This record gives sequence, structure tokens and C-alpha cells, in this order.
Amino acid sequence: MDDPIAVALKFAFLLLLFLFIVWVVRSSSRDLVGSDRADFDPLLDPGEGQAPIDLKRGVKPRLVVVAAQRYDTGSSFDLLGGLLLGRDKPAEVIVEDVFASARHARITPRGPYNFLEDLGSTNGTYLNGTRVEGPQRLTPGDKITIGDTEFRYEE
Amino acid sequence: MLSARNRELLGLVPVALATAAGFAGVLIAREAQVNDLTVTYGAMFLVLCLVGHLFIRWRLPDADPYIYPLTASLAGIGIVTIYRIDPELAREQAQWFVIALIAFMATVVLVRDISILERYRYSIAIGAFILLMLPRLTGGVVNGAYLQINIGPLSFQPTEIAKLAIVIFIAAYLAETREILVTQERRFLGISFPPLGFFGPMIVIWAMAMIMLVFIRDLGSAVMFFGAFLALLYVATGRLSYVVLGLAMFIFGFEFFSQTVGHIQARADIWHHPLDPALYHAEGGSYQIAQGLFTMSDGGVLGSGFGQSLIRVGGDPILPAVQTDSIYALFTGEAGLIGAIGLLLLYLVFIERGLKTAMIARDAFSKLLATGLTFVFALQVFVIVGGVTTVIPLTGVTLPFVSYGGSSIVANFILIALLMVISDNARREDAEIGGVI
Repeated sequence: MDDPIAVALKFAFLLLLFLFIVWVVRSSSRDLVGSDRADFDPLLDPGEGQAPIDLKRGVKPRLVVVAAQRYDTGSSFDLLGGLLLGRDKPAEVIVEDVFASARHARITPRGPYNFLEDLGSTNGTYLNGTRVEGPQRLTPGDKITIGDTEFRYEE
Repeated sequence: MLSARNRELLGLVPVALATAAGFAGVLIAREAQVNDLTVTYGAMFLVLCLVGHLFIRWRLPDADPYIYPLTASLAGIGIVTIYRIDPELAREQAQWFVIALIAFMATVVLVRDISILERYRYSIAIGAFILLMLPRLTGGVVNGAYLQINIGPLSFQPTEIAKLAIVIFIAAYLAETREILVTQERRFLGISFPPLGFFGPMIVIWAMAMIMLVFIRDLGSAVMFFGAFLALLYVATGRLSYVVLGLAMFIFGFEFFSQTVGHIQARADIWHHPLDPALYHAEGGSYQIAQGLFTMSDGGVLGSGFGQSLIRVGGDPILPAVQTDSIYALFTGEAGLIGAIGLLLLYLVFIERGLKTAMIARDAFSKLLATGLTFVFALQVFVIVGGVTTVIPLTGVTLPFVSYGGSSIVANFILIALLMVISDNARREDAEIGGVI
């Protein structure tokens, strides 16, 4: 029954298993990628009324309306928790434009910056005249265009 | 500092050695029944691990380096235990690994951009519902639950795939509506209630869980789906009151149906009194749970050794469903409490990596999807390990990557494919943005 080799193999198996677990735990805790931003969470709820991310101090990012059907030129949206732009309801910025998709584009904070991202819209989102492919970092004065609707990013 | 992929390769070394030690142990312990040639199933498993690794090097260079070796270690434990039960089953399982690896690769290639899934969320939800209802319309009953469809000689459990589809749908739905849920909440007696319009979809998902309970008779899947939904709801809104509300709805439904539907009532009795002689000897009684408990206690702290637990007496199985539901009991018997702790730690670390992926993911959908996939995985482990150890009523779900079963292995490989695609995107962007900051 108790073959010494079989017993040794069982313990070798268990030892290797635990060595592997210890290796994963140790080396993944030293894994630097993303660890300094681990507590950053764009799924922050705006309901608590606090700034969702640690943007550069004193900076108030906002989206200023340059030309839009529904909003007055010069009015602006606070960008503290990111914004969804689109033609229909779930979007916080309603873009009444024949070229706009229901969920068209999204602005998401990431670290100290805001990023603009197209959500696979039919007619595309343009940043300073260039079509957006993948997330683009926004800098003050950037022009965001959806069809005939235009916004300006300000901090 | 090692690159992510070299680290992954390094992690596969102890996994390969442990699997080899396991196979050798089974071979020595069961010389009489086991043919030398069957060791090739172990070799085949290791080759597959390497193929998967090379594919990840090519397509997902920045993905989390620990998810894949952890998967391989779980699958290694699985194939050693199944090999010990029956070399023929191990051969079939090794074949399923080939199919699962192909499904893994296909998922990575097809879902290069995870937001594709977000766009087709309604089609995916309808597909999931059809998959869930199919076995009831066509198929076979397994242990009193409608879970299988039979296509010729192949049987397939669509709940395994449906579980992924439902998580994708819930993640997409909440990514879209979470702001409304929070900004339009009402407060009543100091408790936040979601807006009325939200109750519609919530009741639909609750009803789906109840349908699973009553029509498909599968408590395990109902707990998994509804649990993942509540976890996502909490992550998306940060409102504990919504979770409590959902939990209350689920418990109310369960209590109501366990009074009225015989199948559920019987399960609850077995759970409360597994060692009651009347239930032990009853048809469909507590025999399986009790035998599992005996097997586990027999192993003690250090285990009885590979091939030492009694699973058959004179050809009659005495541990029912040993390669699926009871595989945890068998592994605990043979590798002991130590082995069981190791196995659970592997799951724990896997879940940690999944949640880490969710944390570094950039957009709401990826975050919610990674959280949901991790939770549904974690709940599946909880449902089966909790069932075998009588923490909760036993329901037949598989132990992910370890249990024998084709649909389960394939679905779980698709799950890690999605997690690794999210991880790859997030970590690559992190590295790029990290350079700017």
C-alpha cells in the first residue's frame, strides 16, 4: 500500500503546488503595472458629490458648447466623473445631430488627464479635425466634433 | 525585471513538474490497472500548455502573466485526478482541452476589441435565454435538473455558455445605465431605492433566476447568475441597499418555491441531515453527500495518497459522480487537508488576478465585465465546494478546470480568454500612459 516512492511523489506534488502559489503571490504583489493607480476607479459614483479622481489640483475640466442644437453656445458641462455623449437618453450630453449615434463618444478621466474615446459610432468623432481611433488625451482648447455639433475642452 | 510573458513561462515550470509528479504517483499506485502508454495523456497536456503560452506570446503580449499558469495548475490537478479515476476519461479530457484551447484562441482573435460585445448585448441576451430553455424543450434530465441537450453522441450543457452570455449582457446594461441608477434614486425612510424604471430589468433578471430554479431546476446556476448580477450592481452603483433588496427578493423566491416545488424541498432536507439513515438509504437521498464527507475525512491532514481512496468496491462505485460533483471530495481525500487548502488558494489567487484586471481596466464595460466574469467563476467554486462540504445545499455544477466535462472546460477557457483580452488592453494602455506621466 504505502510505497515510499508514491508517498514521496505525493509530497513533491504538494510542495510544488505551494511553491507555485507562493511564487504567484510574491511576484504579483511586486508587479508594478497599475499598482500605483490601483485605487483609481472611473466607476465612481457622482452621487456622493466629491471629485471622482485626483485631477491636478485646482483644475476644473469642462466641456464648452461651441455649436449644438440643444444647448446654448458657451454653456458648459463639468467633466469630473467623465461624460457620455450621444443622441439618446443614457447619454448625459444629448447631441441632437443626424450624424450622432445613440451612444457616440465618451470622455473618461484617467490619472490626471481626461481621455476622449469613440464608442464605435457610425460617423465618427473628430478631435481637432482628426478622426478618433482609440482613446485620445485631451488638452485645453481641443475641438471635439460630432457631425455639425462642436465642443471645446477646457480646464 | 522579467517581461510578462517570460514570467508566465517561468510559472508554467512548477505546474509542469507538479503535474508530472502527480501522473507518476498515480502510475506507481495503480500499476495493476494502469497502462504505461496512458502517461502520454499527461505529456499531451503539457504540450497543450506550451502551445497556449506561445499563442498568448503572439496575440496578447501584455496580458496578466499569472492567469494562464494558474489555469494550467488547476487543469493539471484536474487531469491527474481524472487520470486516477479512469485513464479513459483522462484521454477524453485531454481531447476536450484541445477543443477548449481552440475556443480560447478563436475568442482572442474574434474579440480583439472587447466593446464588440457591448454593442451586441441584446443579441447576446436573447441567445443566452434560448440556450437556457433548450434543454427543457429537447433534452435529458440529469439528477432531476434539465441541463443537457443531446446531439447524437455528444451531450452539451448550454448553461455553461449561457453563464458567460448573461454576464456580458448585465455588464453592458449596467455600464450604460449606472449613472441613471444613482442620479435618479429616491430615498425613503433613509434607504436609497433605485428609480422605478430600473425595476423592470431587475425583475427580468430575478425572474430568469426563478425560471432556472423552477423549470430547469438548477439552484446552482440560479445562485451564480443572481450573485454575479448583485455583485455587478454593487460595483456599478456603490449602493449596498440595492444589493440587500435583490438578496431579499432572491431569498423570498427561494423560500416560496422550496415550499411548493418538491425537488428543491428534497435538496434542502438532504443538506440539513446528510447522515440521517433514512435519507442516506432513500432513492435520490443524501448518499452522495455522505460518501463525499467520508472520503474527505478519510484523507486526514496529509491525505491518503494518489489512488488510495476507495471509490469502487468490486466494480460498484461508492462515491457517486466522482469525476464531476464529487471530484473535490476525492482530491481532498487523496491530497489531504493540505492539498485542499492548496487548491482553494489557487482559486483565491486566480480570483485576485481577475479583480486586479477589473481594477486596471479603463472603461466601465471592461471593468464590469472583468468583475462579472471573476464573480461568476468564484461563485461556481463556492457553489460546488460549499455543496460538497455541506455549507450550502449540494447542486451539480462543475469545479472549474478540474471537473471532467467538455462544456465546462470550453466555457471556462472562453472566460479566461475574455479576461486576458481585457487585461492585455488595460496593461498596454497603462504602460503607454505611464510613460507620459
